[in-house]
Amino acid sequence: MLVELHSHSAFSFLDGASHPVEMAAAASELGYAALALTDHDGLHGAMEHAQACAGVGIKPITGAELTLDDGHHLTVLCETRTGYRNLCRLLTMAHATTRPVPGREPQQPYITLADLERHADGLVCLSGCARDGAVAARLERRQDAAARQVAERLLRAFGADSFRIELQRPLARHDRRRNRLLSELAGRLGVPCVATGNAHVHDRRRAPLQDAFVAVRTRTTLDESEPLRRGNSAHALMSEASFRERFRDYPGALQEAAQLAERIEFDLGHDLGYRYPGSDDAEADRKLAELCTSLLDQRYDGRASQSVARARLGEELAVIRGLGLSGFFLLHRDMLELAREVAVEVRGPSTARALLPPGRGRGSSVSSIVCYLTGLSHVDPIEADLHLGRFLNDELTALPDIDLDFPRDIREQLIPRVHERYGRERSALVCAFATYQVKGAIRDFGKALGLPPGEVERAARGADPWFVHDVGNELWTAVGKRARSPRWQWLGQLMQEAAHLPRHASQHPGGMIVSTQPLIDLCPVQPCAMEGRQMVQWDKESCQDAGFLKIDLLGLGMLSAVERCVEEIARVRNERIDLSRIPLDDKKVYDTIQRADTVGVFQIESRAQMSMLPRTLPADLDDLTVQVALVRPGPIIGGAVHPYIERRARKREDPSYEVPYDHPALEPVLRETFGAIVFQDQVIEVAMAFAGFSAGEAEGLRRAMSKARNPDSLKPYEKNFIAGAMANGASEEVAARVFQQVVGFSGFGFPKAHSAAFGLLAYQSAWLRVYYGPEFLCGLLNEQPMGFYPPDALVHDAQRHGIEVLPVSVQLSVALCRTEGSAIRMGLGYVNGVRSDDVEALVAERERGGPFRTAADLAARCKAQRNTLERLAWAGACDDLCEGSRRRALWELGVAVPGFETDGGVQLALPLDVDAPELRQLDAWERLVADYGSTKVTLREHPLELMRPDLPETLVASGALVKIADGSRVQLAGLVVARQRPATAKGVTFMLLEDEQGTFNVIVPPPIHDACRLAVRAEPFVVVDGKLERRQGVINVVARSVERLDRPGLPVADVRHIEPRKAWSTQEEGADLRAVAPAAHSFGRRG
Amino acid sequence: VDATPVDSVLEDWLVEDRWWTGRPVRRRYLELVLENGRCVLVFRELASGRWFTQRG
Repeated sequence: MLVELHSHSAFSFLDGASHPVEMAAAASELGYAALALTDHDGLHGAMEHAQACAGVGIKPITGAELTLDDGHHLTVLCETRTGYRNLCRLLTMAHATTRPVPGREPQQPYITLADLERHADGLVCLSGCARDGAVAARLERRQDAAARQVAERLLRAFGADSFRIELQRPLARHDRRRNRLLSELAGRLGVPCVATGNAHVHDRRRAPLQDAFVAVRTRTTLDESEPLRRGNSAHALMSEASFRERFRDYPGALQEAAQLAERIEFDLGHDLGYRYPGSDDAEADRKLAELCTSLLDQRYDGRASQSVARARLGEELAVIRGLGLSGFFLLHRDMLELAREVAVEVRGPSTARALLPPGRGRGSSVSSIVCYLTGLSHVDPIEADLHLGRFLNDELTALPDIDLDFPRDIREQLIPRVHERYGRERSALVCAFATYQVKGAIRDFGKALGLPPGEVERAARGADPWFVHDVGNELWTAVGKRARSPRWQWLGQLMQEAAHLPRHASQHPGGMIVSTQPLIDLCPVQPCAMEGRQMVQWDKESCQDAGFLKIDLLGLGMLSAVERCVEEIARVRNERIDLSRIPLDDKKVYDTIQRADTVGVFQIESRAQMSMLPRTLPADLDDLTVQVALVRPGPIIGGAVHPYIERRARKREDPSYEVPYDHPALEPVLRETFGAIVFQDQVIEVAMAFAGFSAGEAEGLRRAMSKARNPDSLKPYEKNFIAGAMANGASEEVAARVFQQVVGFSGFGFPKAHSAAFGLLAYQSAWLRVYYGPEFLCGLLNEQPMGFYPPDALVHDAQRHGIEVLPVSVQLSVALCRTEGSAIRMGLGYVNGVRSDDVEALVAERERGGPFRTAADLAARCKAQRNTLERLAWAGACDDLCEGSRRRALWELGVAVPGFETDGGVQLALPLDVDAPELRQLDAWERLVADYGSTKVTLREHPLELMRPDLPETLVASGALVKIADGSRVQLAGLVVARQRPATAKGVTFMLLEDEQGTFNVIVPPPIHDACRLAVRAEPFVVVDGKLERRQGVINVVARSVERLDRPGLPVADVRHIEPRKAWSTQEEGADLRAVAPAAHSFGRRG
Repeated sequence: VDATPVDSVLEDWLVEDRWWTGRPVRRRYLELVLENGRCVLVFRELASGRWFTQRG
């Protein structure tokens, strides 16, 4: 019987180069009966391992390789449930001290031998690996007595049944000697030996990646890391023949390994005994029913929909009772009540924000009237005509998801409060595994391969951040024919192999697990980078496989921005806005939406949305619900977008127009979307109405589409779908066509309930933007990063709408941006590199002692660091003190700073009575560079306005596009605001450019992208030559070329180098406007 | 080795290195005791199949 009791996956993080799924598949090919995963100091991949092994018929063994406080390793395997619990506790202990300084790199986890001795029950201990094992490494160093001492101690702790001497044969120099000594020691102790392979990859061909990981982990190069690497590819999973060959002197060790594997009974795939709080409450059904009924009487009192709502509540409660989920809803309600308490503390009791609910629902749970009544959703499902099926149905086999959105500040406080409420040992965040991204992979592996840093950086900057398939071309573009050299070729190969492998563990944005029993008995818990937070070692998929209830407490930037806006309106205008009471049919709001004047509006501000709004012309909340769902991969790939737009337009022009349906059964479920499948729920409804699926079968189809990329997994559904549709009177051809539409949707779409929730927030944000523009912009600027546009583009859009934006000022600004009358004053916090406590101290001093009189007064009173003052001056914040001259402000602050710290203590400056020399004012270019260098926002001339006089006259400005005929050739120049390369667009790149007159869209077809990839991807300023396309009021430029915008000879400002030197046209790296221009937002999907 | 019979193999190991360069190394090493009592280190270049004696 072939078994492996010691193996590592990529969840050993840079020491293991295969995914557990690859390990299990390879083990199955090789004929393994059992495979133990023993990653370093963690169980991060254990559930994936258990699931993958179960899928290929191999016995999964759960274990870990533990690091001791002296750096030695020991291998432990879970024989029983008790052993698993002990391992979870040991690993939790090992990680407890890894974050002594929050936010810094974690330190090495470790336990002591004494810890292990106390938690030995149910575990099998192997004496450790060849190189670092607690026994083997000592023997290797000829510390025979110490090795024996440790082995005897382990034998006492684990007993003769559960301690084994581990023999390995990594084909390293001293294998034979070491194994001979280990075997002799085993004989003296009366303990059997076991043979293990210590596999780190599933296949020898993956060994180079393991070597590269070692170099990355140890921050060195492959050339310099020889002693640290494994030295050969013998650490791949072995065949039975290889095992026998390597251990031919120890056949008993192979036999013992097989016997041990057979004896191990613990299976992580079985029920771990998790229960969520309230799951065992016998009174939960009654409590939930009473709560909902009383809330329904309040909410629907006197409304026409009351009886419908009552009936719907009865149905929902019956389903919930049937599924035993009353406690689940009560737990969520409890969580929301906790959020309400936190919200009062964060917002203050009498603020304008206090009128707003603490959070709101998202996802399919918004369709539930129970959620609506208990406050878990803010959308009335009766009024919005939302159906429950996708969220809750009788055939549900897993816990449903209730996701809650909170403003960021409330969420930050809520997470530690959940720890407090349920106990730190019973609550933790879910983990997330960061995988290698293209740019990071180029940098890491480029360094490991010893490639020139400058070239590596150029390749990284020019690389498509989302697609790893085309690496060869990327590198060719960056370094030319050198890309053919072995090292560059290996870079491409290593990147492709590393893509999708976990690199390190981090916290999930807001998924929390709460439990009735200590979580550390179910899964190891480790501290997060953020102070006071902790996470389980499993991601959301593993948590779901373990049956854990995950509650998503998500931070939503737009909710925070809206709250800030409401608060600002109250401060400036003394008006208290209750967003739940604003009119939902405001014509002015819909007019701006239909004009695609939506920069900054939630969900409908993107380039794709803007190009659609003038064609769909949303006129009410239902339309917005569809609109939000329309620009998603599901409807786009499913071919729903164009039929929806076209039929909607035809219906608007001719109300008697009959929408075509493939079958009468489809009309009721697709009527609101004109026969197109736009919402996820419609997949379910079509399957039920058209093909006669049950709710559970239809949900199964939806899940199969969203999870399995393998088309074979859909085959059983296709057969049943077509048979069911034909039984319903459809022809085979129609049935097959409708199935293709359903499959085309592929699950990447919003459920209607989620769209309704987001559509409402889209409307509310549009309403605030129309009626309270300055305050809304303030909210957005103070919540960055968020949304589609960088702050510079948001400011320019506001300026084009007549909103005055005022510069930072030490006399008038506070830390955040705020409204001054009808204008906005930029906040001091926008100045890069300025410490927030310096800013707070400055504002406090100004409020205490009045405005600063001079630069010297500022320096003397605010006690900010010299660096802070210089940065403020460079940003123009001291202009009011120095007659508008930034140079003079820098001079005066330079001589006025009262003192600064040196190695020898605080050096006091002598009062210098020196007149400032004549200093020339910054010209427009220099000011632009200073603005971008300091705040990333320029309030005066747009860079294109300054460039315009020197650009060829053939280049038109964006304002002229409306007058140019469809199909004409045009040339434009602009600052890149956003780039998108969606996976659904078949290689097409979309760019949003801005000039002094506004923004415009550029569509870059794949051949043009390939020919001009560096300009398309990396240049902040470009010239586009292309063809103008006008469709239903939407203008695009289809590019024929995209070039870097270049203009040599511009004068270079010679100012102190607080920020990089400038001149927008030089080739020198980091010395031009490009180095400081605001970075465009890039969007796309990994391909 | 050099016409002297091998008495025993003390150690054997595998070196696979410098795969990222144009000159990768793949060698099987053997540490041998010859019948004349001498200890020698030999290796086989796996790419060419040729045997060498390591000196020094």
